[in-house]
Amino acid sequence: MNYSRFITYLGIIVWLLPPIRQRGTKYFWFFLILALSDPLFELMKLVSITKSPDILYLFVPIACFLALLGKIVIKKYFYLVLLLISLPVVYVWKLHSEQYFFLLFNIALMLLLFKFIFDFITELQKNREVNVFLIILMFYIISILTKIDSVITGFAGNYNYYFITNILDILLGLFFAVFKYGTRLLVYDFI
Amino acid sequence: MGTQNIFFSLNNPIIFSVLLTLALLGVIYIFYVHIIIPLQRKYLRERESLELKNARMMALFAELDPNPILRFDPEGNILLVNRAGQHLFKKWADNKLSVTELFHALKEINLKECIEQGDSHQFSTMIKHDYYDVMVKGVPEMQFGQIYCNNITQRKQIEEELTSSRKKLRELSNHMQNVQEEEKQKISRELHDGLGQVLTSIRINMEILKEHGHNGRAKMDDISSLIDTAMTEIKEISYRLKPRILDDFGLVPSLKQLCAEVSARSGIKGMFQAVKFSGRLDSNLETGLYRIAQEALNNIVKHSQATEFSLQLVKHPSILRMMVEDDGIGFDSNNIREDVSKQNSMGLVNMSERVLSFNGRLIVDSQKGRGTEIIVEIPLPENNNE
Repeated sequence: MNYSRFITYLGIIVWLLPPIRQRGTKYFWFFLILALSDPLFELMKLVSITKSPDILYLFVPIACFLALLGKIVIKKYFYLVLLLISLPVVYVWKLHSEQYFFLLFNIALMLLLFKFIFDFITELQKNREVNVFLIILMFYIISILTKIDSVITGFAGNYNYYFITNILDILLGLFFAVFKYGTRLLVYDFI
Repeated sequence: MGTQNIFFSLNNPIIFSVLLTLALLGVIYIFYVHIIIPLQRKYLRERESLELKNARMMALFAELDPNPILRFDPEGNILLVNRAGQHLFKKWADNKLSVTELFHALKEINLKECIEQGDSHQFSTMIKHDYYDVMVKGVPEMQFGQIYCNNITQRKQIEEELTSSRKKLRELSNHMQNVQEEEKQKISRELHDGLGQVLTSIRINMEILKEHGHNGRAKMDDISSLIDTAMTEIKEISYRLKPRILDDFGLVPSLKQLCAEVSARSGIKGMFQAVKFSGRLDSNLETGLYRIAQEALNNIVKHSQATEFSLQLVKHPSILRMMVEDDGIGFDSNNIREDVSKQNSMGLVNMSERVLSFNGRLIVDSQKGRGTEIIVEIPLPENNNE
């Protein structure tokens, strides 16, 4: 059996659970986009629309970032948001190279990471509380960043690292499927 | 062993991610403790300083306010009384009394809630014989409340005077309507009983004369006598409505005749005197003065139990003075002298309204057992000064 395909499909299934658990929280749309992106990619490959879903992978972090911003901020900074969405379109139309793909992908992931850092500091400031859920989210984004960058840079040349990080993804998926954002179990007072 | 080497190697992105996350948390911690918290403390210090400045400004404004102001804490204790309020509230402030003991209306208000919510309440009360409009306002930022007192005594007095005037006006209006109705009734009765009967008798005699023509002369004399009676009745009715002599000959002869008639009717000895009076006045003024004299003499006849009265008319260069005096039982006019509008008698009210309509002055001087003097002074326009 091809263990990598098994892990991949297991990951897809596990990551369908977090949106159900996070329903009603401010991260619901974030998890929903994440959950639907991989199945959509597999479906596209199956019906042979595309072999290389670069554009989809570029859209996912941008869409997640917009989902985190919320309607009010999107309305307020509409033109900036439009610029952000146009990045993948420009990439497909003009740039279309691996270098630009990874550059834009990293930028999108960094935006996500900064948003989570901002949320973490805001909660720390407002409620004097450390939210472990947000720390895990930051860790998740950093793990995706290092996973991708290690492949690009050859940092982790062994394919096994990619395999291990996929297992980490599944474990994190299970974590988000169990613990809802805002649960008091994951909140601690800051001394 | 191989797997362990792979997993725990720095090449493992997971380990790298964990280290990176820990480094990130460290940066956040340092940033928070060394930048955000000091900024927060600085903000709180500045806010306290601003609140202190604000409180000082409010205290200064309170001191400068010409109206009394009290400041109290959530328990109701007086914290400050401004200069304007010292003479009113010093005793309470010195004795450290609560504002609820000072203003009973505040017992129904939750002062703590008022301060916290920034509510305001308003009511009127009396403090040391003066009326005050009191406003209680909570200042949540400063955690105290302030009571603003506005002296409305003058406004209250004006309101009371206005209410009293309106009441008097209504009473006067009713009285005038009643008087008019009585007069109409009297005239109607006199016409019916007096004149009506006389005319009926004339008619009967005329019928008899027609039938028994041979006794005509005696009947004609009777009819003539009845016609004289009718004419006399008509003259009396007409005189009471408005004396012709007033229109034809003026004020002096009409007043002279009035005095003579009142004397004859009532048996009270009357005297009339006109000093430096010549010529005519404005017809409305003459009518007004005549009615005032008429009312005064009616009062003498009805109430005074006098044996003598006098009516004097004196014309000064710019003032016309009419004085009606009697030696009757009098009444206590001390209150009335100060303010004619407080008088209860509708007759006097009527007189005073007439005098006021000519921009004049009515003085009523009377004491129990010592008679009454009514003086009317009317300013004269320049063309009447002779």
